[in-house]
Amino acid sequence: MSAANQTTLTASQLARQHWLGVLAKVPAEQLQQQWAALDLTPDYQLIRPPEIGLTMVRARVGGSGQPFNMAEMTITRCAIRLTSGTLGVSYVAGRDKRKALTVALADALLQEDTDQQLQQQLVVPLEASLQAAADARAADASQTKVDFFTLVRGEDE
Amino acid sequence: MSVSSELLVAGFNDAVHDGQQVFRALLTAMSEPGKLQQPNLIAEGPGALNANSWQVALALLDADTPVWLSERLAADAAISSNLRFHCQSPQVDSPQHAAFALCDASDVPDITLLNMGSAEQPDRSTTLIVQVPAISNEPHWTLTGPGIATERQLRIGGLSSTFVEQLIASRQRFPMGIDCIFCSADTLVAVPRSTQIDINMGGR
Repeated sequence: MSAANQTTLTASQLARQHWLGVLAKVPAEQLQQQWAALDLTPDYQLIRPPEIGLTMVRARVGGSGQPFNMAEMTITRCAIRLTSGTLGVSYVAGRDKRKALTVALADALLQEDTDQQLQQQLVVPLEASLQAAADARAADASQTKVDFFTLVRGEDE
Repeated sequence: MSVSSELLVAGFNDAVHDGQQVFRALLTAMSEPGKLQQPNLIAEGPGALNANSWQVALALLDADTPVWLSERLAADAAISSNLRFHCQSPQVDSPQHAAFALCDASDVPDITLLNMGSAEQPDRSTTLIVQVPAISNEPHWTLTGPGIATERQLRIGGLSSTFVEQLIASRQRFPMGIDCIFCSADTLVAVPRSTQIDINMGGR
């Protein structure tokens, strides 16, 4: 998404974008554990039962070149409606229907989460663990970091 | 146009098998014109669309089938939102460019504006899906033609006489023409272009 598009989003849309990103990226096992610990059993109706499909991933060379079709990836999507009427949606990578359903339920509940309680119990810890995993990986990679430099060879003089 | 999330209703519970059952019923209806089918696989439709028309739309429409909505149905945001969300069908302004036309009996389009196909490609025609108040086998129309051993009786409520006249007149242009699917709250029936319709004046 380009920067121009993002400026038109409202604060609540940005917040939703953020938690959907965290929930989609977190490993399924960890999400289910955290979700089960909360012991939430909302009543809901399936608007679009979890379904698996393909989507085309587009990319730009160097982040600014012409967009090109990079590859297709498998995604699972789902939409549910709580009895209160709030719609929750999810798009997650892979073929895990249970994860798609959990994310959709969490999305709906997070929209109703006016006191930020669920945000604190679910999204914040998961985001912290995502960040920790990213940091660990970066630290791991930095051990083998090589700095390239060129000695002055005096040719330009 | 965007999708209004608060207006979305459920699609098929099991998209593959439910879709196949509705398609099977439609196939029977098309191959045996006037034979009533009742595949009730869905509880409610969006807005003014009944559950029966909605399941037909779910089974037939997808991203490759441009759909035209009659004025009254197009004005209903619930219908266009759900068609976009569940079927991904492009919605066209002119029935001439539509693979399917969706309308209510009170709001039927002028048949001559629909795409009847061409002599070379009669299969490119628009299929008309009409939501009607009642369908029964009471004698009103006598249907004859392919798929009917002798004759079959059919009564469809709520249709204007202009529409019926146009439908009968369109038979002259065979193999071009319009295939119709009529959906009441719980019953569907098809009248393809090959079926001849005779109105029984005595049966009225």
